[in-house]
Amino acid sequence: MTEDKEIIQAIRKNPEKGFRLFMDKYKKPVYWHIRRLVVSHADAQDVAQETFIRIFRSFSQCRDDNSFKAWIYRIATREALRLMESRHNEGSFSLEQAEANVNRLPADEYIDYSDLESVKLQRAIRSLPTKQQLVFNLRYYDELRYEEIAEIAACTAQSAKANYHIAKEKIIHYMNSNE
Amino acid sequence: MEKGFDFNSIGKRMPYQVPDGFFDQLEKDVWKEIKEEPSQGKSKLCIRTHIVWGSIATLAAGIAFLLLLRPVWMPESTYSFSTVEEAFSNLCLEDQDYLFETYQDDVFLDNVFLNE
Repeated sequence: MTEDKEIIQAIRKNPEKGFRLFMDKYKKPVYWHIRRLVVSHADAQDVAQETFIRIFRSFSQCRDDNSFKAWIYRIATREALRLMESRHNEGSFSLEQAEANVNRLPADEYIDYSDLESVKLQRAIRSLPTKQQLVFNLRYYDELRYEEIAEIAACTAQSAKANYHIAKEKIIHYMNSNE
Repeated sequence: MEKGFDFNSIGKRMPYQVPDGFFDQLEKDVWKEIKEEPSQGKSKLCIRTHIVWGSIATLAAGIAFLLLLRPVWMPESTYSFSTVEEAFSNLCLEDQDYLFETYQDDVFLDNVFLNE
């Protein structure tokens, strides 16, 4: 897998060639990150496409090569939250909603409902406040460092770590319940 | 700590699926979109930048003026984040991109959006 620094250098040298390297490495993880937040495949497809176009256009805005991954995920997260906000569209929407009112998986052609355990895990994750969902997903699935997560979620690394452990405990509790 | 459910038993397995060949198609769609974009000449970009900055400066001056002279009876602003979002979505794509690029690292805006 190409290192981020190589991708950055390649994009600076030849944007199209470099962006192909970027897509090879990031198209799947970025799509799955978005999918876990928005759930619907069609929505995730739209948001992912918008995210990659924004990344291509605004690459020059990424000033810190060391936080390239955080920058990418921040754009993807922002685009996903923008869509979620437009779906809620009632009152103000923030990551601090005490209870996400989307603790179920909506009908979607591309969800395997027969995998009961993984469906329940996703429901457990979606029962969390949005910020905890975000932190949990970034740590558990994407294995980002707390410092990177902090950049994406606009909090401190300590706060990200605390949010992750709280989320994990809540998920275990949910999975052990009969819901 | 509560016991019972073990994350190791499920790992990273998810119920989410994608159609066959989806990722190749996604990449093709992204390239198509990027290549279809009208090329922006430097002078056009420069003019747009001046217009946008001019507008921002005018708006900032207006707000500062209103803040200084706001009569006591004038109500506080009731603009919510969703109002701003709606206004943003009404902008053309180029202006959205410009604002997005300019303010994406703005700590204050991030904190409004991801308020701890």
